[in-house]
This record gives sequence, structure tokens and C-alpha cells, in this order.
Amino acid sequence: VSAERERFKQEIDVGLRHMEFRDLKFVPGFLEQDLFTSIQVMPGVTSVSDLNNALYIRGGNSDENLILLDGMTVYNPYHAGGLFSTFNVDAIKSADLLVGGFPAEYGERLSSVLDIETKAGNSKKFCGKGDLSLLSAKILLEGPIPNGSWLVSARRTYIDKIIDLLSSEKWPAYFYDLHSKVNFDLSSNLRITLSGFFGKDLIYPEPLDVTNFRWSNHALGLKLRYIFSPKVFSTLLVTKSTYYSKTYVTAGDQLRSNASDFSVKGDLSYFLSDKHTLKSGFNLSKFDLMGKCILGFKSLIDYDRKADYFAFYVQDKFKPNQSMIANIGVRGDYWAPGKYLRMSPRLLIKYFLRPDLALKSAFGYYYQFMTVPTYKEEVTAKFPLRMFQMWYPVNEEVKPLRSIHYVLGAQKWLSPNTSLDVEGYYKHINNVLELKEVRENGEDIFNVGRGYALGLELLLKRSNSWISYAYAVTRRTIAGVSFYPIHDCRHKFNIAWNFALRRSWDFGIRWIYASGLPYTGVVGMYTHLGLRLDFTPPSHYPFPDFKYSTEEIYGWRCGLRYPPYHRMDVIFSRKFKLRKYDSFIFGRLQILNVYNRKNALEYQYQSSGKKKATGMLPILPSIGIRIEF
Amino acid sequence: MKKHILFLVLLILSGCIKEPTEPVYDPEPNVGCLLSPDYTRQQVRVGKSWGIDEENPEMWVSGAEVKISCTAETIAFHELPDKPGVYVSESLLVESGKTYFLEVDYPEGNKVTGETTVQKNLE
Repeated sequence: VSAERERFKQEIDVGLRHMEFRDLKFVPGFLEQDLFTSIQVMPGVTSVSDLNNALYIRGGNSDENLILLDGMTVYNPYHAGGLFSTFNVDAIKSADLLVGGFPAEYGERLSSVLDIETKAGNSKKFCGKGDLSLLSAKILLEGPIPNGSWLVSARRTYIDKIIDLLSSEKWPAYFYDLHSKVNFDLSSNLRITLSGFFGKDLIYPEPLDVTNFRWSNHALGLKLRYIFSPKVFSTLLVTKSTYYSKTYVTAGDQLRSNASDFSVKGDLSYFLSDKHTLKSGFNLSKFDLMGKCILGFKSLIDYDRKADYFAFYVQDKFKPNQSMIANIGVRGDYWAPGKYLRMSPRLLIKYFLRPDLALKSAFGYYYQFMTVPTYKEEVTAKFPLRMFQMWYPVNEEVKPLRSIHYVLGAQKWLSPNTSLDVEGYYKHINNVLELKEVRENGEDIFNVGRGYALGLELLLKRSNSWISYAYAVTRRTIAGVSFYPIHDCRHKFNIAWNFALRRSWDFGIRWIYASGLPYTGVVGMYTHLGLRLDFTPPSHYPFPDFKYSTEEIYGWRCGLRYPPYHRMDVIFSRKFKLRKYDSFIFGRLQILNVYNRKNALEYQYQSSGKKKATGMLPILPSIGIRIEF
Repeated sequence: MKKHILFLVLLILSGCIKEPTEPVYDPEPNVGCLLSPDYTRQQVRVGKSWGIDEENPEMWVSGAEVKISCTAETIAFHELPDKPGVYVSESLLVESGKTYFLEVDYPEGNKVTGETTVQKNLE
């Protein structure tokens, strides 16, 4: 019986999308496999562009996802401005994506939780992997220590180094990341885990110019897991996580942001009886959040704030009989500045109609106390510009963001390794923030909005292959204007299927078909009459000299839609055994956008009124090689 | 099996909700005027915006009535015969510090007004 089937029996897996490392490596990615690209095959997950991997889950904004790496919050999970996620797939053991209706033990974000667990390290023998793709070189080493194990994984792009060697030109960007983990069993009851993560990006468009973009994430966590008795165990996690970004163009044009937290989190589980499993916990965090935006020597945004956050929860997994499991819980969040105390009831229920068929539902309140407000996200979201994320704390003037989730679904096992999951949801969202178009002195710099999302999702999963369909409607009202935001994807159909062709060959295919996403179109144009500043008329010049330019008139916000998006990617993998060295070599070829579909990234309007589409990724073959020893 | 197909068809049909479409764009008046004591002839350009789908749009409007007044004096502008939408006057003497009122009556009935005070000479 698979672990998933066992989880189906024991857990209320509402909105849970579970992925293992073996699932991730069969989904083709841009130049190499990527966690966020793999997650996008799941229903309810949308991205708005091939060039930006930011995740929009069940109608939520991309800042409404809590990204946890071994329990440590990652504030900017992107490399290259969003082209890639910051996580090295080789280091990942599993990823749980909770797309809605999650229980009281999770908080801090409105829409989803992505809980990533890195590999523990091999406790029996020293081994490793090396991987070379057109993007990066990676190495992973792991091995035993007395009563424990360790793992180190590093990745770096290398195009800049190659170009340095071969020519006098400079490649304008690179990134690297490092995952590490040490497990140590002090006794049979106490395990200590030390996790570390460090990732950094640097882009300097003109090597001789001062302009540069740099950002980094680093996190360190110490976890103690103590088993008091067969019925009681606890975990204590101490973490420090920091995101820092600095964009420097000139002394008069700078963007800087910082988000960091020092947190202590504790959980206690108590198997009270066959019917009740109690779990409770707390989270105590201190945040430092800073944002500066200087344009033309004018300071548009400037804040540097500290915040205290305290949360506690208690939940009871209750099995009144063989047919039903319920998880009843409540979470309390306290946030200062603002001294907000918010209580969030959560309820999840699973009812077994048959051993292989269950109904499930969830309800809950969710609050978020820090957010990344953008100025009309449709302007920038499609481009790899995620280097700058300004996390802004709610305060006395700005209320916490709130969402209410209602979920109803069913899961049926069609065969021992095939399941069909159907979920419908409705979500109400309040107090989302957006930067105002023009800041006026003394005024709040945000527009506050509200909205809703509803949808229906189907997921057919067989081993590490999926077919999914999602129907969704997302609506926002900001500053009195109602619109479908850029991630409102009405229909999305996804196949990610893997085949073992022969003993040593694997083949993976992914095909996606999605409704066109909204955009704000140009509906008209006018001739703007300006004064020619480059021309000084002589005295008593008979005629003013105008400068003419054609300007665009925009229509309804996100009032139009791009054509449907579709794309097919394939990956071939071949395994070779090196008997002499007890090692394996894996060669892989992947081709993105096999039939070279020109999906529209954006439209550019010419003065004649004609619009021209800029395409997303064209057909893109790439190769890679991996050595495992 | 038929039930499943029916369910899927209903699902897909339910997704075909009617999306709002942009209304046909209605052109707006577009007037530009620059007054300066440095010029012996003042000029007003009268035009309109145009829809993105229009082929060969008419940017400039002929046959408009253009007037600029200051205190009790009102000066009518005349359209240059070879330049549609360009209305000029040599009679309006613009002086620094005075306020001028512009009134444009479009042939189809739209009316555009505006006012400006000419800056005083920089000492």
C-alpha cells in the first residue's frame, strides 16, 4: 500500500498536493528541473508567464504563499528575477503544497503553504551526485556521522565563467545557492537537526556601469525533536531567515528592501486515545522589514519597521467512528504594530463513504500581517523582475489581510496506485493592498481592495504522473474598480506523464492548455501636443512649435484576454551503469515548447494602432548529465 | 461512463461564462493650445482621439469654432485652409500675467473650455 493511500486513510488531506523528489525530476523545466515549474502542473496553481515562476494559488496573489524550507520562511524564493525558483531540486526530499483550507497549525499567509523538506542525508554510506545542465553545475554530497547524517548541496550558474575564459566580454549575471543539513541523534528520544540555506543573485547589465541588482536569501534553523513517550512528542525550532535586495542605478535611483525574522516555534503532539490526537503549538517571531524607493533623488517609499508576532494554536484530530475524521482547531495571532489579535477557527472533515471513497470539506479564517504591495501587478508580473520584493507590515493604519476559505471535495481510489481528487472552493479576501498610482503628500500610499475566488479542480494521479483540470474565477475590487486580475485563469488543463520506455530509458511529457489571461488593452490613441524643449524660438517667432507624440488610452483594467496558452515539453533520460565504479550516469535531453507555440507575453501597440505580440519561450532544447556515486 | 461524460460536459459548459468585452471606443475631443507673448501668431490645434481599430483615423477636426477671450475682448480664430485642425489668430496679443479663456465648439456639438494665466516675465 502506497504512502499516499495510507495518508488517505489516516489524514484529512484537503487541498494537499504532495510531491516527492522522483516526481520533480520528471517534469521538464527551463534548462533544468525546477520545483516551481513542477508545482504548476497541480490544479489551482497558476503562473502568468514563462519568464516568471511566481505562483498564484486559488486566486491569491503570489505574496500570499508561505514558503517554508525545513520550517524556515523564505521571503523571496526566486533566482534570476523569477525565471527559476531558489531551491535546488536535488536537495529536496518532498514538498507539500496546501492550496487551501489548511489546519490551525499553519498561519501567516492567506492562500497557501508550501512546506519543503530537504533530504536528511545518507546515514549508511558516503555518496553524492554531480549534475551539469546548460544553466548550472550542481553537486550534492551526503554521508553518515556517528548517530546521524549530513548533506551539502551547492549549485552555481557558470556561463559567466565560460565567457570570461573564452572572450573579453562579460556575462551580466550569475547566481548560486547552498543547502546543508546535519541530523544528530543525541539519544533514542532526542534528535537535533541543523539546516542552512544560502542563495544569492547578482545582475549587472553593463559591466562597466554602476547599475546592478543584487539580492539574497539566507536561513538557518535548529530543530529539536523530543519523544516524551510513545504518546507524546514535541518539536522546537529556532530559525533566523533574511532576505535582502538592493537595486542601484544611480545615486538618485535606488531600490532597497529587507525582510528578516528571528523565530522560535514549538509543537506538541499528544495521542490521547484512539479517537483524539491533540496538537498545539506556538510561534514567537521578531521581524525587521525595510523598504526604500528613491527615484530621481525623490524618496517615494521609505520605511524601516520592527514587528512582533505571536501565534498559538490548538487542534484536535477527532475520529468519532470508522467513517469520519475531523480536525477542529483554533489559531490566535497577535501582531504589533497595530496590536491586532485575530482568532481563526478552522474545521476539516473527512467522511468515508467506502474504504476507497471519501468526502472532505474545510472551513477556516486566515490572516496575513505582512504583504508585498505592487503597483498594478499586470505591468510587471510577467517579466523576471522578482529581485525586488518590498515586504510591508500591517500597522495602525493598514489592517491585516483576511481570507475565508470554504472547501468541499471528494477523493476516490480507482486502483491501488491511481486516485481521483475533486475539490470545489470559495474564498473571500479582504484588505489586499496595492500601491497607489500617484502618491500625494500626507496620504496613504496604498489602495485597499477586496475580492473573491471560486473554482473546481480535478486531479487524477497515478504514481508520479498527473492529469489535472481546474476551473477558476478570481475577481478583485480595488479603488472602486472591479476586475479579473492577471492570474484569473478560467480553464487550465495539465498533463504530466512519465513512462519507463525500456529498462534504462525514461520519458516524461507535459502538456498544458490554459485560457488566456487578462490584460489591460489599449482602446484608443491621441496626439499629445507638447512644447519642444529642444527648441528655443527666436524673439517674435511667428508660430509656436509643437512636439507631437502619440499616446495610448487604456481600456478597462484587465478587460481583455490573451489567446489561450498551450505548450508541450518532453524529457528523455537514459541511465548508464558504471560497474567498475559502482556508479550511474544519467543523460537527459529536454525540449520545451516542442511545437514552437507562440504564446503571447504582451502586446506592443504601434502608432498605426496595430498590435504586435511579443512571444514567450520558443522551442528550446537543452541537455544535461548527472553522475551518482 | 455516460454519467461521467455528462458531468464533464456540464462542467465545461458551466465554465463558459460570459466575459465582459470592451465597449466600442468613443473618440474624445483633444485640444492643444500654447499662448506666449513671444509669438505674433497664436495657435490652437483641434483634434480628437481615435479607436485602436480605426483605419486611417481622422486626428484633426475641421469646421470648429475657436475663441479665446480675455477680460471683455473675445478673439475668434480661423482655420488655416491647408492645415486641417490648425486654428490661428494674429489679432490676439498675449500679455504676461493675464488670464485667457479658451472655448472650442466642435461641429458635432462637443464643447471644450479651458483657461490659463500667462506667467509673468522672469526678472
